[in-house]
Amino acid sequence: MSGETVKRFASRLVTPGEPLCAPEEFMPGPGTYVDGGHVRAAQLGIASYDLKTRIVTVKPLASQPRIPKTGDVVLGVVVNIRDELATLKIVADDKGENYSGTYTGILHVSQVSTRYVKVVEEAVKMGDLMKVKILRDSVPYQLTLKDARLGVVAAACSNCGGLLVKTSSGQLKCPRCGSVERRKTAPDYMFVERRRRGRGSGRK
Amino acid sequence: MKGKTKLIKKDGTRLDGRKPDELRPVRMEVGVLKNADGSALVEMGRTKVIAAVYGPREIHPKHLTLPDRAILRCRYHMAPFSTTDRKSPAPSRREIELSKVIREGLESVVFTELYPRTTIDVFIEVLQADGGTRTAGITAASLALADAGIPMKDLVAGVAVGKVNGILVLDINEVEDEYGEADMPVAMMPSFGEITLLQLNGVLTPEEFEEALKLAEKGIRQLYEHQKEALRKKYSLQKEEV
Amino acid sequence: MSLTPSTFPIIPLVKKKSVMALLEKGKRLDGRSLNEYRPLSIELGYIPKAEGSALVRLGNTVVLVGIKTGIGSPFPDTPDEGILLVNAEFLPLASPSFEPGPPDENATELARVVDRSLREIRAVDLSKLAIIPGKKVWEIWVDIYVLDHDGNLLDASMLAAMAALSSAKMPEAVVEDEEVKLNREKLKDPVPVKHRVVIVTVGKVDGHLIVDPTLEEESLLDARLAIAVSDDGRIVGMQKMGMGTFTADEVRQAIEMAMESSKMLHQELDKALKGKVK
Repeated sequence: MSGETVKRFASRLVTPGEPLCAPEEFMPGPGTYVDGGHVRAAQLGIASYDLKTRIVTVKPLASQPRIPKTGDVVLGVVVNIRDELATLKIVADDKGENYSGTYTGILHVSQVSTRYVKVVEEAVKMGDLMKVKILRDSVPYQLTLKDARLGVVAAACSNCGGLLVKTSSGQLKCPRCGSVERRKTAPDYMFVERRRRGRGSGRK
Repeated sequence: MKGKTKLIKKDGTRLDGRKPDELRPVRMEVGVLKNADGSALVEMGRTKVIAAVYGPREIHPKHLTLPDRAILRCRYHMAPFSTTDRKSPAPSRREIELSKVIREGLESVVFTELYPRTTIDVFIEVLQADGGTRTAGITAASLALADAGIPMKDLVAGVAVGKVNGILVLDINEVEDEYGEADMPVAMMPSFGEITLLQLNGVLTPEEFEEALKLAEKGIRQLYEHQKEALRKKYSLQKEEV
Repeated sequence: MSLTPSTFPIIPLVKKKSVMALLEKGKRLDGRSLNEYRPLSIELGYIPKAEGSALVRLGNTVVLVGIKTGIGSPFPDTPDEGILLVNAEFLPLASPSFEPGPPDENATELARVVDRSLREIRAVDLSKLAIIPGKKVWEIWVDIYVLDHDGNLLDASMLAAMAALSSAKMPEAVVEDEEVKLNREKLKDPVPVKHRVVIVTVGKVDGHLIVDPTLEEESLLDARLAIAVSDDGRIVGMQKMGMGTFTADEVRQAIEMAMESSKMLHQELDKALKGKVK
């Protein structure tokens, strides 16, 4: 290759709209599009030309919009509940990293468990923080709980509002008023009962 | 008043010393706000405009949702202290109209089909107004969109051409706008030369229009270089880490 | 109508645990001590077209204040005094939670707290702002523009308002036959600032008191107490905010903290204004 060509096809920072090459030279890859006889950058990023596959791509530099995708395990809060449907606000991925904005997700009673569940409230309640999986990523998101990893990760007592603690027997118990509630909890439920070690969490 | 005030000096320069085809000093900075997903500041002389982008994010109210693409929402707004006499912060008819023409000027560059059922919100605040605020606004908005990592066909840059004392001038300031015979804001996709925003307030012959458009294109080319420079400046450090 | 804000109940509670653990050790998420402010900068004259302006950065919070002047009619009960007006805009570009529209209750409260803190001590000498007593007086507009919201907007807004007012120059007023014309080409007299005021907001979380809370910390606070302190060390205004309560002892402690922090804020104001204002 001539020096000129090497220079043309060296990786570089490009801005949206910048021509990268002719479509005959390299095929348009991710982060590019074709218009006006050129492959162009669709994004601010680094253009790289793969001489083996003959594909040009633009790897984005700006932080990308973070949007939940099908198959993702996400954190959401239950904001509305009916017999057959719970509505969640999806706020973050399973590592707690926030998405750009919040997204509405819907958990149908048929997706709550592999066994028969009559009403959603048998497994989740208003205000619960949950780990759920995304079945379909168009707004509103379709969600499922059918996976051992999934379930409620933090819940408040529906009686007094105290944070429920998971006991050694797997029940959720309110350390403030003593009431016991039923949920489908995730294995990493956040508040686990510590035996005789000072105060229970969430207590004033 | 119009056309009577002397805005071009004997030596052919303008009141601020510029040649007819000269832009004011330009300053652009990308990523000036932390909360926003993308942001940019654009200064053209004393005109100072900041733009921020949020999204794509879920739309409220929900009925605005489009199944096949993201919607764009745009607000052009002037600070109360941006003008000579204080401007009421309530949106004026002018601001409502400009919000629309700016939004329409951005619609064709954003790949909205990549984010169906969401909104991309563009907020433009004029901090100091000295002519050409809508074109500085759309220039800043396109930088903010790129900074937000939103896929786009091209950047958009804009500038206002005016006619003062019978002479076509580039990048008019407030005095030239107020006392001149015509004001024509133009915004383009610089890589394609397509016009995304065009208004004319005043009187031009068809020949003058041709010349004015050429002048605008010349200014937009220069602004485009500033835009690329501003984006590179923010992201070149990151590049070295890649 | 004011409503209980609806927030996700669980998430702040979950976070509270780690924040509380740190507070017990006298530390905060960003490594500050309880009575420590974030880095502060005050830039004067950011908007040369305004009569006065200041851009204040407090950590990641950014507030811009511009001063505009005009001629108005005096209020009937104070015919010989000018008018001071404070307005705040929480711009939608400053936070994903701010919506376009007229100032909401939070923006209105902020503007009024700043207004009262200036008014009660007569920080601006309004008696010097009558042009034709009983008929024409100066209107001084203080417009607070929140550009980036990362908590403690009130302290930042007060600093910006004070810096902008103290550095503002009013246009020349020409009186002709009972009519007043402004010559905006010629900026003449400074706004008559007699006292400088700063606001220190003290937040309370589970009995711990902290100054200059970040947005994240604010979401966990039980309540906040804003204390306005003048340059001569008087308390010139207070506002309790948030749904929780303070004990009398906590209020005393908060005032002590505010007195301490206000000295630093006054020094920063001084530093910014020194040499720039006669």
